[in-house]
Amino acid sequence: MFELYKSEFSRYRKWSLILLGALLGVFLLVSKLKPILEGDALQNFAFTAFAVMGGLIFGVVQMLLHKRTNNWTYLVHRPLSAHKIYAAIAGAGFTVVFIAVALPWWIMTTSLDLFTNNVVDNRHYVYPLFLLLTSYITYLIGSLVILNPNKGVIALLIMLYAVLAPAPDSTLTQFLPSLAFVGVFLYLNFMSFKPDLSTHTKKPLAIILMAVPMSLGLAFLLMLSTAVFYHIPLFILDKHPDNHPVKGSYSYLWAEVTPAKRLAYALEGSDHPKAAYFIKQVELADEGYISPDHWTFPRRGQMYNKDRQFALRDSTSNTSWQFSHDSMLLEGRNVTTRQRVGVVGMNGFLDSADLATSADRFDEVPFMVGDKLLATTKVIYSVNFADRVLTVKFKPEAGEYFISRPQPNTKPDYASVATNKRTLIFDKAEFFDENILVVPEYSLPHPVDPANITYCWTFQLVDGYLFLCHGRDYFGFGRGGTELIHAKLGGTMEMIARREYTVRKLPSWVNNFNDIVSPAATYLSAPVLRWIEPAETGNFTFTELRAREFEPYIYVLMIMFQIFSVIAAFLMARRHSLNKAQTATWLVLTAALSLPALVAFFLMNPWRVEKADS
Amino acid sequence: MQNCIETNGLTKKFGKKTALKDFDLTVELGGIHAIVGSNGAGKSTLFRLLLGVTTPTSGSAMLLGNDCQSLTPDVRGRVGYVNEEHTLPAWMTAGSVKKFQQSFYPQWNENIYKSVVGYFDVDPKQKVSGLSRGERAGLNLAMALAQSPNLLILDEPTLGLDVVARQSFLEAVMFTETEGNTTIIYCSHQMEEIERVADKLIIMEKGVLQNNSSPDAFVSRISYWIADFGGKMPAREKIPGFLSARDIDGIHHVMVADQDKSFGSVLTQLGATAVTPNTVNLERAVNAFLTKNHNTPGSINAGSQG
Repeated sequence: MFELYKSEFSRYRKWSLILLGALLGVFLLVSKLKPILEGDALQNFAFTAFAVMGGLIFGVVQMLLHKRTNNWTYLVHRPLSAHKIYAAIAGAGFTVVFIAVALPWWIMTTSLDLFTNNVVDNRHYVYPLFLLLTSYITYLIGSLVILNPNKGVIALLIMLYAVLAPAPDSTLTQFLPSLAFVGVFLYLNFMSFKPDLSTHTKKPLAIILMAVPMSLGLAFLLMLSTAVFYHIPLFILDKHPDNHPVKGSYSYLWAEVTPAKRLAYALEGSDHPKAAYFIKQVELADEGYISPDHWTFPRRGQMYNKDRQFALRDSTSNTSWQFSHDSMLLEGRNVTTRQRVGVVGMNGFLDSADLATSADRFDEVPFMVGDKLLATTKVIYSVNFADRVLTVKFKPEAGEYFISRPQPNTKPDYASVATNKRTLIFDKAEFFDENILVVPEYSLPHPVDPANITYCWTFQLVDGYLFLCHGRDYFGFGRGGTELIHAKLGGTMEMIARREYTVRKLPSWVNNFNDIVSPAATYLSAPVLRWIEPAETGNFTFTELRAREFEPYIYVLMIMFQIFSVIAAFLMARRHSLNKAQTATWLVLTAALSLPALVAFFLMNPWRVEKADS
Repeated sequence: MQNCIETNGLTKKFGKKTALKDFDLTVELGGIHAIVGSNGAGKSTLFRLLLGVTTPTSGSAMLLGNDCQSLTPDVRGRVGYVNEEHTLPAWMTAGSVKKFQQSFYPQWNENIYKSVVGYFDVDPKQKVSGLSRGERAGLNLAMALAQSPNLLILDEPTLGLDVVARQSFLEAVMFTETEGNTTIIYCSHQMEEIERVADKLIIMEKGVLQNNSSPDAFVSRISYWIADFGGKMPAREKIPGFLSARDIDGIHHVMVADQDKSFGSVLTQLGATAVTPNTVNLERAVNAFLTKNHNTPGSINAGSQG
């Protein structure tokens, strides 16, 4: 087996070394332009795309070259089991991916660590591992596309969403999904690698491991299919609600283009005596917005590409201050000489990291706001580089913590931040001045769970602010609404009007099509994504999913689709002469996952049933 | 005697096309068994079925007494296979390929390898991609034979080889058959090769087995007659065992199968005035056999074959 591994690796060794050299060249070039370990969006996209596409293409090409009839016979007809042959091939594939994708990063990171004064934490060594796993996942999917006669294998790429999209809450949630996918896809490849590649997978476990993730991808595609049979035809007929806003619906808010008209729409039916007055006031008011929704704060050891800002920069002293997750200190360096110029801990400046006690080290990873502010979930600090002073700029009350990052607004001029209890508005100039402690000018208790608020429009009046908070689920799942609150100078609050929009822009069956075709797909994906990134409240937990209420006919449709899927799967299983275990597996899958599992059945079984005597 | 290959009702369909139909073949251990058939006869499909890389639509196939659909690594180690492309890792050198291949076969016979590869001028340091077709064929055959297989399947191994390389190849095959204990299945379109090496002749036509006997026995089934019908030959359907006929200067040369000496009187009864029996060699016999049902534009248009 090792000889086969060596032979297979030697086939791609030259190419992997060329890519290794090319990537190191790219790193050298980029490092002349910017800090290479600064995770800006373009750099992240480029290297992630390289890892994803490179792995996928390599997996496809490697197996395609083996799949040619004579090559395939040469590969499999040897005194080795199919599993050992595949292990050698996949092992060589892993080595190639390692050399071409991860090794350049490790070489570069180690070089920076050993030979420069840059901040290089353990987390910087973790990023290549992430790229390696991501690339190997797509490599395995690519090889599975060729090895398995299932026509829908490519739908497994949907699983990458769980790897690439969230900002994971811990190292466990960062890597567990990737490792699980590698394990599952390796198993499926082992099952698919057999002398006759035209035969379909028969083992119930393999069917389940293939059908479940495929069904999640197919559920997404089925949801998109509403574009084909609903949205596009209505657009063609010029009858789509986006072109003809439905009055009384939540989305009609955006049909009203001026703030005053929007406010008037939110106030429709209100008997508040000053309703007309507010509408008139808003005609001349500056409009801003605040999002009180949860934000994922940086965590210790997170991959550096998730950092929102690389460093605080003080142009006067020409120093750059970068946060080290290993030391939990802000480490300063002269930009030109790269000499260390001290550190900043929770208690202020120190001349050297060696002088820092555990009390000096930050207990949370702060994130940077502008060039002079640091914020954790408990404190906002301002840094005065000239006087080398760290000041607590603002600290919420006991039991209170920030759920959003500070948001500057230009017109009207204010800075806002949301805690778990309220939204705070500060004078913007004071907020960003490192020498001034701030107190909020306005404090707005959250009218509903901030997860239900999309955002709040703010209108500056002569005597305070009007907050028009709104959300698609403002009053609960699918119950869009608005709430108008008057925050007066001096701190008093008055709720002016609340409105729930009971008219729906789209029919419920379109809005909830994903739940209709597969209720379980949502239950399988959203809580997992929420587990990976708890602050992403758009992914519902089990409890939140169970609390949702649909119109009665939606439940009827769900049940009908499930019954249809089960019956159709049963009939197809009989037509394909599946054995009892396989039939039972498909019946359970279609009963649980409904229509996507039925589509998966068609993709995972031959379309033409060959009869020997026909 | 144990059979090295045994198929029963073996059928393989690709969509609407039937590549093999109720194919019953028995090949005994020992000797060189030649398989001939025109293109599309199902030879390569048969090999793929035997090696388990294709699943039959129905029927069964056994290789060295084992079901071809579940060949163990041990059985695969006892069956060598050489295809017409001489597939080898082109990115490796000849020497490293040999070492690579040798690692899988504990029974590797270095003497056979050296003896066979000696027929060809293979430089061990040369990359496989740089070898000539003949050198590549020689290297492939040498390795296949050095594995000391019980059964060696050669699928058109001399395709594209020049006369010298082909000669070396055949000598190497015969050397092994004599020296070793290997049953060889030899598929080729070259009749002179078959005539030279084959102990048994298996003829396939359109997925159906037509003959499985010694070459001599097969040739004895075919007879060749020269007859003068005075210009026009009778309808082919009236000639029993008819295979082919040629009109040369008004005299008809007729080839028939499975007819004895009394066939001359049959021709006489059909109007022939002068009938002379003739000898036939293997190539002509096989060609006549295979062209019998071979489609020609004329035969398609006329709705008949011949």
